Amino acid sequence: MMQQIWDLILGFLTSKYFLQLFFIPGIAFIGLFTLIVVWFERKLLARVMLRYGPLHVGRVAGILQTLADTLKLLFKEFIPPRKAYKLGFYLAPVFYASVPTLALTAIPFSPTWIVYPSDVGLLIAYAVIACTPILPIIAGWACNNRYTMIGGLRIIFQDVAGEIPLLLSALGVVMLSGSFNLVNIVNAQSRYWFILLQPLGALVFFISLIAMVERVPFDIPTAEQELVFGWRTEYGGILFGLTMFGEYISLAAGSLLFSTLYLGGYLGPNPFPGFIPSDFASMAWILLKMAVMVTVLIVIRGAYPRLRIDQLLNLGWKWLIPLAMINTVLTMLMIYFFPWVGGA
Amino acid sequence: MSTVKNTIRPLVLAFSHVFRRVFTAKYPYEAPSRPSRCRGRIMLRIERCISCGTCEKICPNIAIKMVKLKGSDKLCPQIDFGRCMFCYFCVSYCPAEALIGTELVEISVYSKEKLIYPPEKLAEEPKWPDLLPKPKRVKLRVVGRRGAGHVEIGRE
Amino acid sequence: MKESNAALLKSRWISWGPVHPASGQLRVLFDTDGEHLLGAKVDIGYVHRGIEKMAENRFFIGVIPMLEKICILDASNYDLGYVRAVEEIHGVDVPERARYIRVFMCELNRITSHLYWTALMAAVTGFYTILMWAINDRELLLDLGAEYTGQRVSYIYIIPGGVRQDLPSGFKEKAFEFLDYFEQRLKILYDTFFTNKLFQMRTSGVGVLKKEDALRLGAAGPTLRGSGLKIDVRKDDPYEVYEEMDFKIPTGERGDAYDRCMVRFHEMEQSTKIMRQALESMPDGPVKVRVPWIAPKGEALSRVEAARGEADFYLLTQRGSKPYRLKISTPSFKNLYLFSHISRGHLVADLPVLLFSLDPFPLDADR
Repeated sequence: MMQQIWDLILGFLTSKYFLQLFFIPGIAFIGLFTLIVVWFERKLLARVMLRYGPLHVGRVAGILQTLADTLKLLFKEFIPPRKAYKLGFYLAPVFYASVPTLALTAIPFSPTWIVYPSDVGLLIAYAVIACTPILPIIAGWACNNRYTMIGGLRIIFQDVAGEIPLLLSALGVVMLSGSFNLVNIVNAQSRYWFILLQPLGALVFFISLIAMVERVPFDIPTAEQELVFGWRTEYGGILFGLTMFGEYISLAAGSLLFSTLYLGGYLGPNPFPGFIPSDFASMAWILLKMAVMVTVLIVIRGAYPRLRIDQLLNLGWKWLIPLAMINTVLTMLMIYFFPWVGGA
Repeated sequence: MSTVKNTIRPLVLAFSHVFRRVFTAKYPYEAPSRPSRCRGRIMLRIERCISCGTCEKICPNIAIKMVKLKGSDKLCPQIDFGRCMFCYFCVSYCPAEALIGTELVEISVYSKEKLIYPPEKLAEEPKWPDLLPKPKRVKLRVVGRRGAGHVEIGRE
Repeated sequence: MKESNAALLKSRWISWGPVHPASGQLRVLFDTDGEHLLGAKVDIGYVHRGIEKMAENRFFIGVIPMLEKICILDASNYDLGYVRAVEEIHGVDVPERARYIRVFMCELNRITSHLYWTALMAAVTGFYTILMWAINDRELLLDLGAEYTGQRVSYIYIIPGGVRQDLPSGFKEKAFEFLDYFEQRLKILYDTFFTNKLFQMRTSGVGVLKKEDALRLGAAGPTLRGSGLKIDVRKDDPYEVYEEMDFKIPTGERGDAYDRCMVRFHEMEQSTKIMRQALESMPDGPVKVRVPWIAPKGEALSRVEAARGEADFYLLTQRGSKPYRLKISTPSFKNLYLFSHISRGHLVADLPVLLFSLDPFPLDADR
């Protein structure tokens, strides 16, 4: 009996599910990713601004600065506003941090390494992305503060303007590969990455992605100069840390989705086929592509001012949605006249 | 067309700055060199002071007060650096050149009272505070294609 | 229904400042309907220090350090205005070399002030890279100023009768080296910030101030010139040696926030030009003449073009060593007055852009 239980535990510890839960894309990955990417963002942005960035904590280039900040946030008291709706106030950041991690379950890290293999993987990712904006709205309303309320209202507008082109632009990819299954989409790119066949769609997807993850130039809901800190104004301590965590997980999910749809996902040559398992090589490739995406997003933060909400709406409704539709039509024509381009 | 240019060019320029020289000086490990006319903490040469009181009258902030030296009747200036704004009118107008300027600006202390320098303390040579590490002296220079930055003196 | 709406609106007066990441030491009260501004007004007076009254208790020379604190970013221009008033009362003639150094000094200050404004303008639009770049470039000029005055910001260098010290030896070469580099940096700032498409989108069409409104409401400085009016004390009523300098007055066309920004940028270019000319054509000679301690009875008015606009100094003296009355008229006060006019019909998100396109300095407005 003991032996059986032991075998069960050992079997679980060495199984793929355990590795997926605790390593990629599980706890270790999201934890390390946020710690490193926050440090990397501060460091790279500092170099763009001709500064040093974190320098002292952790001996080498301040690499432990994020960890120190997280610890500091953990030990801080969080004070809810007196007239706040407490349940919403406490729960919104918790869910804001945890919901985007679900999007990672749909992303294939190798042909077989996928937490929830499904024929509609892309739709699952979109469903999760569509869920996240509700939480800031709840938070903004629950804080009972004018700044947070305006921040929450802005999120509604921003997400409606950003999500539709995000969905429409991916339609071209689906048509080319003939599947909603992300593994099939990646495999369809074995000849050309879709960014080469769909530059317009990739651009629209990229811009609306920035709007969805609320980064500069579309960090309108948290505009510091107008709204103090938007819907997060009242949060302190680890609740604030969780909102930041959720933001960076959204960033990771967005970059992974972009790499999967347009940059060939996990596809890439394995330098030592006998030596390195093909799963690891695939993971390394998709993580590398994600790192490039994150770098681009960070440099964009250093190169542009923030737009206004009406300008974002103009951009979304008058430019991105028509462009996404044009892209769909162009893809149809492409498939009709050159049927060999698609992977299907 | 100019729209595309005006959107892409900032991105390229911002990224190119990653490879430029970092501008920041790592104060207090590196201290930028001070110009020779730097207006730092004021120093008093007691033996040259003629107790005329010009400094007391000229001081716009009433930071200077003439007090008696310890153990003698001679009047010498006492400067409250908490009030002083380092205009150096006292140094400029001192007829005997008893008040002279120094380069030290690191005179912060924890209590206001310690900023009141009686003549004896004013006469001391300025010295770098013990709390801070001994700094490397750097200088702001415009060097080559990597732009301006702080360069260590002697290694320009 | 109407009453309840009115009650709701009443409760929606939002204070923006004086404790806010982007406001400075002033308060903007605004009323919104969603994102739309229904009205906005500026509330100043948080940093009033009574400098005019304090000046009556100081020696003529002791007023200078205090006057610089009216607008510390733009110290020399304010010094110059007051010092010229004192010189007029005494009737002294300032040596030619000192006049050139003063012009050099004032233009240096104009650039540092405009660079600081660039940094703030970038910060309020969420563009922190330019905030750092502009502050870094400003550092070069502050270093240059410290080379001959000894202070980085609060110079206290222009005094009645000339300037305090001559330029140090080897200064010219260093100044030219820095100016060359600074011109390169200005070009980079132009490419990255002033012509940035997103910055153009943020500022163009925002806060339009028409020509006649600018005149009627008494705008000053770059704000006035942004509306297309060529009014500049340096040209209209030249003081010191501005007559001999060759420079243009940049003006805008539409009078929106973007035009005001571009006017300030082109002013920086013109100021570099003036600084070069001043250094090149600087004659040799003394830099200071003695000005008596006791002033005769008299009154004087002097105008200078400070970085934010025209600053006027009216000085009244009885026979004595202290001013009897000093009245200062500052540009920020005139420009902040425009705020409720130009903010009509804009969005909440435009508020910081509107405010900082006027380049306000609360200390300058309050005195």
